[in-house]
Amino acid sequence: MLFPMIILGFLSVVVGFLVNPLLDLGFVSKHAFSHFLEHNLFFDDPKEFHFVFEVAIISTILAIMGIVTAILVVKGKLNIKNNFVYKILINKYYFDEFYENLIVKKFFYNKIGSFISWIDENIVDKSNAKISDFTIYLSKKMSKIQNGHLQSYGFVFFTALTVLMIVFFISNLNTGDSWLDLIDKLNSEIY
Amino acid sequence: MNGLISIIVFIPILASIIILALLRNDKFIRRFSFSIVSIELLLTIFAFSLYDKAKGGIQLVDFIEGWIPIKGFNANYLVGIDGLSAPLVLLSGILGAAAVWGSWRIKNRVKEYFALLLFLQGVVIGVFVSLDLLLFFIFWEAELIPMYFLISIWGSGRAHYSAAKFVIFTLFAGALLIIGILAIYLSQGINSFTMVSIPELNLQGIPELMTGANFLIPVSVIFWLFFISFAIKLPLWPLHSWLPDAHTDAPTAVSVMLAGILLKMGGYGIFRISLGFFKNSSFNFDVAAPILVILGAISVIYGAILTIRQTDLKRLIAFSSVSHMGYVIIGFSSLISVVSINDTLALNGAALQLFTHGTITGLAFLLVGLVYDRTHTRYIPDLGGLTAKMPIIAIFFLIAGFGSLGLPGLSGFVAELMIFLGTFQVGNIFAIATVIGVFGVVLAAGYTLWMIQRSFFGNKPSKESPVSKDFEELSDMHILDVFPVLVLTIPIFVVGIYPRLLTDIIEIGIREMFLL
Repeated sequence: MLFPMIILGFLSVVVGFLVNPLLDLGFVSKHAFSHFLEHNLFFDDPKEFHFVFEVAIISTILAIMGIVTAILVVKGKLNIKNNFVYKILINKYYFDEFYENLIVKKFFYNKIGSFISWIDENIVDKSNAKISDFTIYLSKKMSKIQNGHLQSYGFVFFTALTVLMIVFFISNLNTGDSWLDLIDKLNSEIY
Repeated sequence: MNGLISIIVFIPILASIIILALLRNDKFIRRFSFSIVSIELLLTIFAFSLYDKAKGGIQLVDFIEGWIPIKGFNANYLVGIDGLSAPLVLLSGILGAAAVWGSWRIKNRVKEYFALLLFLQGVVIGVFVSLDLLLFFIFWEAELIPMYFLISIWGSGRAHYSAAKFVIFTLFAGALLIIGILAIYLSQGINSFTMVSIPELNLQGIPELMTGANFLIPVSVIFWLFFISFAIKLPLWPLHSWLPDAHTDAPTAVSVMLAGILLKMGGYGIFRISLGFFKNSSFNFDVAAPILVILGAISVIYGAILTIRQTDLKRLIAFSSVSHMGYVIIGFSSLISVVSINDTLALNGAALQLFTHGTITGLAFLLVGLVYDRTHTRYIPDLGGLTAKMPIIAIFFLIAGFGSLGLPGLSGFVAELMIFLGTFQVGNIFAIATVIGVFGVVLAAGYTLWMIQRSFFGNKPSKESPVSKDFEELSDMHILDVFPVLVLTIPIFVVGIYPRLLTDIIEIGIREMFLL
């Protein structure tokens, strides 16, 4: 593992000098990367960039501070484990926990998911069961009509016939036909 | 008279009769069924390759005029394939083979099992190739007979309940279907059962006759009768509640057939009848299409959220089917804007989705079956770390999972992308529904990867799990399981890498429906 890391470490140190060299190296021209960046969407009018001393100083100081801190931590001279900043950083600002626990588990899975499940079980599926229950209920009620008594069948038969005839005569009230005409009409409609 | 399509339909049906009437030896019945579905697979591939794309139209037609000798009854024996049905016939060949090949472990009532499975394959192909409404209806209903017995005898859990639920739902769909068929047949100016026009046979189909017809009942009522019937079969929210039960309690091979091709009967009907019959009639799609796209979007999201909450592997995949079939309806609703061949992208995608979902979900159910055979549980919290013991099953499970979530390079991606692109272009509510549908893909990634993570990766099952005791003895895929798994995996890759194999032919079918 050490050997590949040495190669990668070496490259990461020198690659910045190689892609954007201060001098023309022959195979890479001077300021190659800077010139490459000149021609893009945001800088269609490239301006001259000056070396800003303050920025260089501040960034170099920050980098050196970082290196010194790292050396101290690795050598055990500095304990940062109980540091508040360290805890936030090591937990990636707690973003994963926030997303996983609050949004995915609490909100999506428990709230929305269980709500939809409830709808599916108690409304969608149960309405089907209710329809079949109603069919069974109706057939139970209607089976009472089939009681085997000839007189009750006859009663239903003649009641229905009477109702039908009343409907027929009422619907023909305004036609002006006499009763006998209507009976003739009824006859012809039956046959 | 060509005969090939009739042979494809009746070979499995005949074979099932032979098994029931003549064969006794279980071993021989198994081999006989394996060879029948292998022949059937080759025949469907052959029929698919015979379809002449340059010529288009209905091909390989078998026609017997007036096969029911009743005066004035214009029912014919008419079968054939077009751009829409050819891929579905191929799909039936593939899934029939996978289902039967994957059933070599069946020990209980081998004779009846294979007879019913073969019969099922025959009648489902019959649904796809029938071009006469009466014949279509006969095959549509005949599918119930084997399904009821297959689920209730060889099923697990609440098998009788689920079988009855499935049958009642499908019978209800069939009742609406027959009312619709009769309303069309009895309407003045139609009086025909012929589903498509075939100029070579001087047959005028219903799509052509719909324009001048005088309908018995309002045409929109007829449309919704058909559509609800197909939506139950597809299934579309809120008519889906039969599906999770039937899938979960059915034996593996039947789940494969159910997800793979029986749902596609609904999708096929939507294209062939809801689109084919009504787009030239006075029916106004301007009102219907927004309703459809909303229902489709609800199906996608609702199905996906329910999928995430499932703890049973099979039930999980069953609910994902509800979500995936929602895409078909989203794509289908784009028919509202079709004026030229350039606008049929989403419709082609929806028809392709029928095929891709068939292979992907078929594969997923087959693999769940393999896991269940070994662990004797499908309860996800009881599983874990299975990759260590069954790496090959895990690989194929990942392929099915990635296909299901629409990974580029696999067939699910192509279909979904076509649907999204085509439907988004319609604009307004269709664009919104498409955006909602795209979130369904995100959820699909969630439930698929989480399911695979919990069952195949991570820690070994905990002490409380029934799997933990025999965990070390778990075995990987048997050599005989390779065939059904491969026959489903190959199309996932082939269609994912070279979708034109199917989209070219589907486009012909869709184009002809719009007479473009």
